[in-house]
Amino acid sequence: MAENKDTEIIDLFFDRSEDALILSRRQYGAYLFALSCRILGNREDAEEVENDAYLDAWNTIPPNRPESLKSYLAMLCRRRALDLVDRRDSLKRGGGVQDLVWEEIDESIPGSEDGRDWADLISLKEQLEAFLAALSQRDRRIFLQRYWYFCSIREIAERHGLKENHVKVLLHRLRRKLKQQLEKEGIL
Amino acid sequence: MKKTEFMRAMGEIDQAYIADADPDAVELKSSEKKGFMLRRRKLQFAAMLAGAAVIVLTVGLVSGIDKRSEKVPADLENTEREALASEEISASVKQSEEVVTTVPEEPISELADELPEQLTWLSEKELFSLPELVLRAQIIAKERLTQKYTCLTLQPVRVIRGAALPLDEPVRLLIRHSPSSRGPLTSGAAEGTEGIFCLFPVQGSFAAENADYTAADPFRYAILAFGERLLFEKTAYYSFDRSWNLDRAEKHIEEILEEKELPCDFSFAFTYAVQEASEADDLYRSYDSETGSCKLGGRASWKKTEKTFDVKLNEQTLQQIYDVLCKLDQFPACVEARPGSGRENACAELRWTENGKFHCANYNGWALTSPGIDDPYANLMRGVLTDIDNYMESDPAYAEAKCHVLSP
Repeated sequence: MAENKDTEIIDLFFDRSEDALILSRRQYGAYLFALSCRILGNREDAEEVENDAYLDAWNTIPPNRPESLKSYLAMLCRRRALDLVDRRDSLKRGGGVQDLVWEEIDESIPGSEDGRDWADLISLKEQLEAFLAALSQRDRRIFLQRYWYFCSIREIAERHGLKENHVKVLLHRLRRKLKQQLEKEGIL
Repeated sequence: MKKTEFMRAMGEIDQAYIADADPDAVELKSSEKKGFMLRRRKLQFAAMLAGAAVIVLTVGLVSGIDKRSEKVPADLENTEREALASEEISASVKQSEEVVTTVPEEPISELADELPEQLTWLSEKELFSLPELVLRAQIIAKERLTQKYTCLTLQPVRVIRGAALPLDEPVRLLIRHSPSSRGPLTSGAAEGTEGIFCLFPVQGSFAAENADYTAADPFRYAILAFGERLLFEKTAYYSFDRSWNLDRAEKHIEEILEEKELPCDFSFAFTYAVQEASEADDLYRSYDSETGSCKLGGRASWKKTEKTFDVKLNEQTLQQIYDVLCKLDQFPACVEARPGSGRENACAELRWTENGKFHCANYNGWALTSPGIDDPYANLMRGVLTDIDNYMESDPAYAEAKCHVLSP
């Protein structure tokens, strides 16, 4: 059902019909707004990011034809939100779940002191995919819900029927495992 | 290396993983759902008791808001939102192509002092009473002066409120653009568009040089005719309907101005949502039902401290409402509002069913009667309350659910 709708909307994008934007918003607006809010912790920024995501979709479809419009829009939205976070003076400003996620990432993926940068994002992406592929479905979902979707610990715990502490410990182990893998591959 | 770069790399991973982990698609485990629902029901019960007490105290004042809340069918409401969404998006698309050739220095601070910045908590009646002129007019020219300011030249049709004006002489209105790049009302103000404009006196050299009047803000300066519909800020002019024409809107303004007392005085601020238990870790769902206060616990900038704050005037509560509104889009099944109004309070209780389970989000609100309470979100919240009310009342399917909830 959703796939049919997606196909219909994507076809509208290809036809350069602005209805594609309306339908995208109707179909996934709440979802994208919630995602942006989780990352930014700020309603106004989230609204803007959501709108930017539609604009990005407009500019990139065509030539792209995403398999899942929802995931594609979420990816655009997340990218825009991260751009905004990058521009902010302080990552702490918003408060809430997003800051905790940043803190956790900071623990595992510390900033480079020697000026070395992420030279090859593609390599990192491949390592991440390898890391995710090696996880069980549950662990993979939990990891992504935390670090891709910016869900709160509590929300994840409820969704998976786990205690919050269990989720925290699990995430800690997953971060450690990721860090070890990245170090082993020379990325860190 | 930046954390955001790492997070970006995360963002580029195979979309199959992302779709698989989608929180909306991953179902709760049944055992946990049960516990969660029990916890929720306890809170729901407490909220219902609190809500009932509030209603008893204010029952005499309820009629005001009921009268105010016109019933709008859900599909029409959706259509309105879509139309607005379309406008906003179209505006974004168009604005991205717009080129400003000259960008003179903008006297932002000068104008910021002049324009009424606290309009957000004003009622409709005040929004139409404050301007020097409420004018029905047609836009005959639109000139973008700077990145933030545009001058509209208006051909007056009729003065709805204010001093008489020579109708054959155009007037110039200085408007600001929307704070973000979106701005359906500014992009909708095209040449030939007719509308009802709220004009404030000019002050300061920049405004005086460029216009005869200024506008209140980018959202409240006008109600524009847009095709067969109206384009306006729903949260400000909440009792208006987008399906009206300008004549109907004009008549409604006259009715509002003639009202001796505001139907709901003065504005609302939502206070809490009780569908979630109170724990740290999530700022938006931290509520203590015993003390009636909201708590932020031990996180972020409040690390290792616990801060209690007055939720009436806090932005976080707006976030809660937005969260619920987002959910409303996703839960089109059964919902109901129980609005109240009065000097001190208003409440709206949202209930909906999802997969046969009942959910409840109970909002109590204060009617802030004292001028000078600086709550920039109050009027917006009132609009939200009205929207919720309309949305929920439009769904007759709730009747059955309501009986079930109220008679467990």
